[in-house]
Amino acid sequence: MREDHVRVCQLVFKHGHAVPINDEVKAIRKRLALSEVPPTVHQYPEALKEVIGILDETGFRALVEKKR
Amino acid sequence: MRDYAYFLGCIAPNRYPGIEAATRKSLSEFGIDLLDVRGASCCPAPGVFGSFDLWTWLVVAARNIVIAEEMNADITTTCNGCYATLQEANHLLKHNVDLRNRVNESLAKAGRQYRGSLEVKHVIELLSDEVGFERIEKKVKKPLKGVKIAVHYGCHFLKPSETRMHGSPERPAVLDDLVRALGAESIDYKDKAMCCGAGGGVRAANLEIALDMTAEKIDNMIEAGADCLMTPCQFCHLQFDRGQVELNEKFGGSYQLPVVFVTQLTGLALGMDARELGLYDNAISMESLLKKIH
Repeated sequence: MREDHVRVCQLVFKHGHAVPINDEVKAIRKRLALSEVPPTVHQYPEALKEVIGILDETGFRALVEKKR
Repeated sequence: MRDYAYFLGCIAPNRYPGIEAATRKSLSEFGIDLLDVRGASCCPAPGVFGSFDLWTWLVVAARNIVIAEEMNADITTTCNGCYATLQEANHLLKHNVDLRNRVNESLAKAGRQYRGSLEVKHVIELLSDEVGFERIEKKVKKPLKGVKIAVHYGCHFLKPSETRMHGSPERPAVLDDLVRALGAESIDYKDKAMCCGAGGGVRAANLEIALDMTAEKIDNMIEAGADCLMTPCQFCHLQFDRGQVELNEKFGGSYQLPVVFVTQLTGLALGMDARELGLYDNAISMESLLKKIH
């Protein structure tokens, strides 16, 4: 596994998204009359916990660490 | 008209919210409300996750599908990658009982269960089948007359064709038909079916190769006289839009071809304001296209 792909996986381990939100996009969302934070794992911490639990349980985190 | 669970994925909500806004507004014009898939995660991406661990890819995808099942709504998405993941996972789980049972054992720990009760549809399918191009054409307030558009289908919407079932993957027509319904001209160009360059984890791992493909595709569009390019995929959209800036910065290019998402172009033809559709939030300026339309 390439280091670049490991970084993508780590973003999902942390945020539940491979491309997480940032302040610049939050401001654009607000201007476009969307919720400042999208209604995904970003808005629901308990949902993020659930996804992280799956990634641990399937052994994906261990696989990524092993392949580095 | 039915409501759909709008699976956002990562790129639209977190980099190109204009795509999300334009999709919600355009479909609302036809009586389709897009519902939030609360707590959805990355689909997960078919390239990186699907390639490295198919089991993790399947369980996470199943969880996303189940959230929509709990809403009793079919899923729609504006990303070819998310479409690939969710449509394929749904197909596998519907047709393989052993796999479904194993996935449900895993999901049960979070109190969830996959039932196989929904369909996953790309937003193109909503526009073409649910709404219909004739109805769209009748609702056009600002026909995009004289605008030459290079349509990019992307890979995952069409292939594998036996699962996607959108007709010929080599000579697709649905997006060209939509462009004509909006009053514009869909132009032919060399290697129209070529990848944008980003998919399969290539953008993350080797940006130069990804950009080389992007440049080749955009060169072909420009040579054919395109005023803009239209995408049905938020990841392809990012690759073409940011990719042109990267080509200009890294390799001294002078690329300025406007990139517009399928629902943004639809919104423009329906008479919506370019700002509300997020068209000024792209990396590449839309001015040349907007001048031509007004």
